[in-house]
Amino acid sequence: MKSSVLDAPLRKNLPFVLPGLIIYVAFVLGPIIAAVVLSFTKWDGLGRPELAGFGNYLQLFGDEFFLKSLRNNAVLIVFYCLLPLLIGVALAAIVSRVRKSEQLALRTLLFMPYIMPSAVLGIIWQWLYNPAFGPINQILRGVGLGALAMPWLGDFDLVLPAVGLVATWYYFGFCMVIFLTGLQRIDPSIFEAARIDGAKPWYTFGRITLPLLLPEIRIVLLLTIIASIKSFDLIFTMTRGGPANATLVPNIYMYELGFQLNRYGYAASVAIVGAILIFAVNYAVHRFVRPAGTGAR
Amino acid sequence: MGQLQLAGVTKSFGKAEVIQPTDLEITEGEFVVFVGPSGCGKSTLLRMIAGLEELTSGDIVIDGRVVNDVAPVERGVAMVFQTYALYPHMSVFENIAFPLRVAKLPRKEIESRVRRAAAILKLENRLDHKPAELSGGQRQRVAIGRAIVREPQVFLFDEPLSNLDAALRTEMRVELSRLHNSLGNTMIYVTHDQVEAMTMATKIVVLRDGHIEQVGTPLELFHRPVNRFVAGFIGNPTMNFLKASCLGETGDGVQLRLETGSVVTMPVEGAARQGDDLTLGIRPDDLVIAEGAARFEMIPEVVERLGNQSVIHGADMAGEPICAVVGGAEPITQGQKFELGFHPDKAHLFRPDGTAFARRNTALA
Ligand SMILES: Nc1ncnc2c1ncn2[C@@H]1O[C@H](COP(=O)(O)OP(=O)(O)O)[C@@H](O)[C@H]1O
Ligand SMILES: [Mg+2]
Repeated sequence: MKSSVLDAPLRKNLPFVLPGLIIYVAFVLGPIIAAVVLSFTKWDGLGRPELAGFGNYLQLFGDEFFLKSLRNNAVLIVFYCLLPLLIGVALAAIVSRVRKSEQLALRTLLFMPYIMPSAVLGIIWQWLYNPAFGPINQILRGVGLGALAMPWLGDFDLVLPAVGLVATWYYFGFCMVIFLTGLQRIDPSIFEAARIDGAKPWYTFGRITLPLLLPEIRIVLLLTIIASIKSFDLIFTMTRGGPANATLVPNIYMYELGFQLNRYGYAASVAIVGAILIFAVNYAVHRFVRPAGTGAR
Repeated sequence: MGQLQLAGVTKSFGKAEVIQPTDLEITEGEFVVFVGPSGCGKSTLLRMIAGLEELTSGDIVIDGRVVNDVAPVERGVAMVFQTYALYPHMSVFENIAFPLRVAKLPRKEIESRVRRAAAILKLENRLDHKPAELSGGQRQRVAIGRAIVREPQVFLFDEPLSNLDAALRTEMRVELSRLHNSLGNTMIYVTHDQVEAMTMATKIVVLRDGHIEQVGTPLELFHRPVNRFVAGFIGNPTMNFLKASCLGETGDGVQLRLETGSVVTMPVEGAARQGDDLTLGIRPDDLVIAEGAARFEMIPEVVERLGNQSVIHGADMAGEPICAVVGGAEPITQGQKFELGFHPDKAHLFRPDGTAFARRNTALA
């Protein structure tokens, strides 16, 4: 058998790899390194960057805006991650019992938000939430619940949950579809065996369904946590971090610092902390959410 | 305890009537095997008994109680599935203990029951393992253990051995029979394999297309099949079917002419008219070389030598396929025609609609 072309010496294969590699270095690796370097400098985007050592990072952890953005992000994780996960599992358990044809319709319907660009959704929801003529408040007033018609995106306490719920709505269908595939992987007679042995639906769900869905739970956790730490477009289009920084998150803060205040070095350090957070959380999920029965250590 | 009646039970999925009206009586301690070709409704019938499928009509009565609307767990049945249906994330111990934990038994009781079941099934030193670490046979034993600990009135098995290799299947067959002897419970066992049915059952129920063809002991089905389907399904290798035209009745039975020209008188009861197209059935083991009242010649095409016997596949001179089992020492070679014969009282006779004539030989079981 002829050996694969991939076994050829490096210099022969380099021409094939180079175009991709160049693009990767220019647009991914380069900027990452640049950002890391930048985060150790002060730079206004015009002059020469001045070396600042760990100054940016030290300043960051005394910066009340940054700390607030972290707190907001922690709250948003509930909406990006926890709620879609819970709703997704529950819906998957219900939808999987529905007949095939209807299941397809439900699946498509609930997955729909996920296929739209989130920036577009942000604009749509901003309109839905509009205090004066937004459909939500109009409906509330229409059914006599005018007292509940709030300035959703204008209220300091409501705005974070209001934005968060859009993220929940965006992600739960996606979570559900992943859990549905997970359920299809499981031998249906396992559930029948549990039923014959007298296990009630809740017991079966807690003792069998959930543990067997751990691989999917792990994927969903990883993806949604990353999404929440990276959250920018939904919030940017709906509130721009306002009112009064009530929805400020690290990425919005980074944007403001860099592109509005021209503090590129400081903005870069925010980005790097965000990246480190993502790595840390990923590691934690990998470490602590382990599918049972497979090489448990 | 462990009695079961099906009265006019039917099941339809949409328009398809998968189980036609079925009556069946199962008494305590029987080992009943539902056997039939794939898709005949065996699993559906079993799942209705288990309570996993609702009845379309009719009644299922367990120990005198109509259980149509009773939850599976309250029917006193335990089931073993073809795919084992073990909980992959739980240890063997937890798998076996599962029904007891559901029933909220005290820990001591759970512990002792699981250990007892594990001892019966030789799983004592596997209790801490996960199902993935077990062999197929061990997994099946865990599934059986999970059924045993519940101490059910009735055990239900749905093709529990089909995922095992041949050697293990034979071994598990013996173990299941042994288990039935020692527990004495009623067991209902579904299989498409007539060998499993013949070897384990005290009572066989032959199903086809959602209805019962015949119910009886293994030997009853073997010696007195009520129709061609049962005759062809039970017994290995399959019975030979030869075309026969009726020459009329004599005092000794029905006289026939086979395609090969031989004339036979079959000792059977029942009316037949001259010219009727009948079918004669003869098992491969009942064909003997150059012996018997009815003779014909056969051309062997394939000779399978098993040592103690040889299985010969070929055709008679009229081109009908024939299979014969002869002694292993017989000098039969492929393509060399030889004479076969049989005793008419070993053969079966079927009407054009497939039903069997009653055989006169009362010595048969
Ligand atoms: N849930 C179902 N929906 C529709 N048809 C079914 C269902 N379950 C079984 N059937 C049909 O019922 C018939 C009998 O099935 P089954 O009892 O599984 O046969 P088997 O004898 O092989 O166990 C088959 O034709 C099968 O297609
Ligand atoms: Mg089946």
